[in-house]
Amino acid sequence: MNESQGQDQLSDKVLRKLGQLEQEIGKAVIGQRQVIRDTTIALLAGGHVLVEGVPGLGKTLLVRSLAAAVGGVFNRVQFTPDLMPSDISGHIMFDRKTDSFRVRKGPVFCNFLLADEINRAPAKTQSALLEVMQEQQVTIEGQTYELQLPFLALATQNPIEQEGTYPLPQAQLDRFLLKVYIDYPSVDEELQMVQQITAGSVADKLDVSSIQEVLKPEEILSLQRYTSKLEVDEQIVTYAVNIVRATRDWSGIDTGSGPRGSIALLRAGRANAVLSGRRFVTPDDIKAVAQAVLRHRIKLSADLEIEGYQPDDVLKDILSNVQAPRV
Amino acid sequence: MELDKLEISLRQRTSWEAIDLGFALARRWFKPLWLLWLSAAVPLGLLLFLFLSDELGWLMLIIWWFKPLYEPPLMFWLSRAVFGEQLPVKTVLRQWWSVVRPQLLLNLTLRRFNPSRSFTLPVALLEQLKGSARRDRLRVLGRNQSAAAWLTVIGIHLETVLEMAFITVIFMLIPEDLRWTSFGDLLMAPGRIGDWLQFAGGLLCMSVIAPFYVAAGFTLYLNRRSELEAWDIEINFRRTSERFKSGAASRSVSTVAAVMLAAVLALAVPLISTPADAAQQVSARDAKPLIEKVLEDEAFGRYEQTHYWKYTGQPEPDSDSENGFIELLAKLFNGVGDVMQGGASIGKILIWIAGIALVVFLIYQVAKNSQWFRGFQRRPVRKGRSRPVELFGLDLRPDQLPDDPAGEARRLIAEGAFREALSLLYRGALVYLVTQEHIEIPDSATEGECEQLVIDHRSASEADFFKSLTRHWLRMAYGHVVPAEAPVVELCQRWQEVYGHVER
Repeated sequence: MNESQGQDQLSDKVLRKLGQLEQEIGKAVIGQRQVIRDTTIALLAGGHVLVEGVPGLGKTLLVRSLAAAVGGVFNRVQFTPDLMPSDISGHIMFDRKTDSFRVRKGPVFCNFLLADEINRAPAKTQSALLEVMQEQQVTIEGQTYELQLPFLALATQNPIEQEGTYPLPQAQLDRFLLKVYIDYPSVDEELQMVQQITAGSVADKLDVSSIQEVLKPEEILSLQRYTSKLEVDEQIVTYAVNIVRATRDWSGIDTGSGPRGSIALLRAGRANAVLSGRRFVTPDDIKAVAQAVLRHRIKLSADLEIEGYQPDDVLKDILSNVQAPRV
Repeated sequence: MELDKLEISLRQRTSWEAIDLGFALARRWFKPLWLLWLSAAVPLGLLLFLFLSDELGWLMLIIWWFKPLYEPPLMFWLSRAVFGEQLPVKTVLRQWWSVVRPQLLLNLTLRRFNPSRSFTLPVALLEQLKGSARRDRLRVLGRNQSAAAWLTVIGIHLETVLEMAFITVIFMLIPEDLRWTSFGDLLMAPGRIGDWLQFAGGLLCMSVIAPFYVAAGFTLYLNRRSELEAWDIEINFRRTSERFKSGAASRSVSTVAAVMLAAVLALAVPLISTPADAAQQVSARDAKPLIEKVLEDEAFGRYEQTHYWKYTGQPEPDSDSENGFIELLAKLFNGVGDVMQGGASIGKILIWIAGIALVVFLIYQVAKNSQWFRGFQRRPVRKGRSRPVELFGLDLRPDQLPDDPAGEARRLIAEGAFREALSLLYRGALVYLVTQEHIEIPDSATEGECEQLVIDHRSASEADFFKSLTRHWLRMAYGHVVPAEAPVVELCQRWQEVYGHVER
């Protein structure tokens, strides 16, 4: 009982800060609330996010803001066709001054990594990053280095200009907890954004100075642990599994999601519950994250793709047909 | 008529070959013919445009209707060109009115839908026949001639296809991003651009088809004349005569040839006539003795008997045993046929019964699924829509609820069964929403979505209560958090206030 109370107290304190975290990010990133919410979910669930959207919608600003609000280290890698794996992970170089070899750590050694236009680099380089995401450690010349936690990778893809890109294979996509669409802001949001960013600023430099540090990296880690231990009723687990299994037999879907989809759905559902201020997961949490969790894990049939259907259309159908939990 | 100067080679042709010849002429002289057509159609189009620019449909119809106005100059030019006199377009245009004027009114009214228009045009234009003379002439010319009508039919189709193709090509050349309408709407829906495209396409296609149509009609006419008046024979004889005259052949041979030519020409005089004489046809009575006289000549008056082989097939086998077998088979089949006839009658009845049963079954199925049949069902159901009987595993049938759900919930609370109490209250609320308020709650709806439905459809106080009830229910069901007694008792009281009047 005491332990439970202690955990509750911890969560109360941290949950308040969590609410502030979204608000702080929102100070710099105008609009895009769903993207902020999804990124925060991924942070709490210890996952990574694949963001798809045209350039100039604030992806870099989002990650920088997140880093500023959590007090973590931010790095950005622009993926290009000539990018090598060692450009991400790091390499060993000979230091003439000390007459010895020295490890030069790559940009992946950070808390928040923005992998911009990940599909512009060849598969070898993509794999290097995706391995880091999965293992949370880097091996350079046989020496293993642990990453500083929390570690969140936010990879972006451009839906246009597909020429000369290397689309991520299904197996690699599966490693992202969520795939988020970042869309154009509404008129009001854009007005507010333009006014805020242009007031007293020179050039295009991203300004995150208004963001206060509300959480420490250690608190994020404790929040992640708390999230992972959140109570989930058996019916909720069944509901998540039913949704994922439905994707495998659904007409219009060539390849459905694997069990990793069910696991991701539950992890993201837990994080959503925490962000909603609850200590238990409800069917609504699962439903809320289902599209972001599953949209990159299913492959539509050629017929539907030709007709212009998106994975979200099919997922909506599935969600409106899978029975809600029967308690 | 100077047949020697003919630019085309006359020989006996079928009507289709004659049309083909006309197309060849049109291809050869397309430019002057096309210009002549346009020189009449374009000024008229512009003139009409001044008055009917807003009514492109009418404009198009009038331009189409006036086709007989544009065609005579083409025919006139062709009639000169085939005899080696290719007039400049300007010359034809100078005498345009005199070419077009004869019988123009009739051409534009009574004869507008004449399917052999291009074939009959030379009779009026070149032979300048009118009234009964024209009719008699056309009767002779048009005997067994259906190709001219087919030429018109094919011309109409070609013109339509070309016009459609023109619009389609234009439409396909528009980049997809710039297309403001579908192809169907472009054709059918009223709109300036669609109308203009049809107008331009129609005019262009008419101008392209017209030279071919007129030339083919003219060659059909020439072919028929040649057939009736033996122009080809005349030309051949003339050429033979020329050869004999100019060559260094012996006098005797040339004398014989000259005599032969004179004899044949004398015989052929009634047949070979200029267009002006053509109307004065040799009557059948006069022609008959002439023909008989010609046939009496040795060259014609012979009968030949020829022999040839013709395959008549295999002789039929004449065998008694085979005949006997066939008769036996015939008897067998007849016998079986008689038996089957009886069986077929029974089968027919069975098929009828099966058909009627199928129809009855289908009617029953249709009626069963319609509102109309509900009154005849054994189990009467209440009026209104069908209601779900289960949602999230909760039994929603009203008869499954106790008479006093709030009272029953209080009793359960007193026993410490909070989960059952909250379940009962939540179920009771859903029963009310589904059965009384007819709120559509899908099977996949989560508690949050139900809450949203209540917020959207019910009053604020009811929504507040439902939110509170849902919150407690969720904590109990998924969080396994046992609530305090007081708030649940309060929920029971409020439930009574909000849903106490539930009809069960």
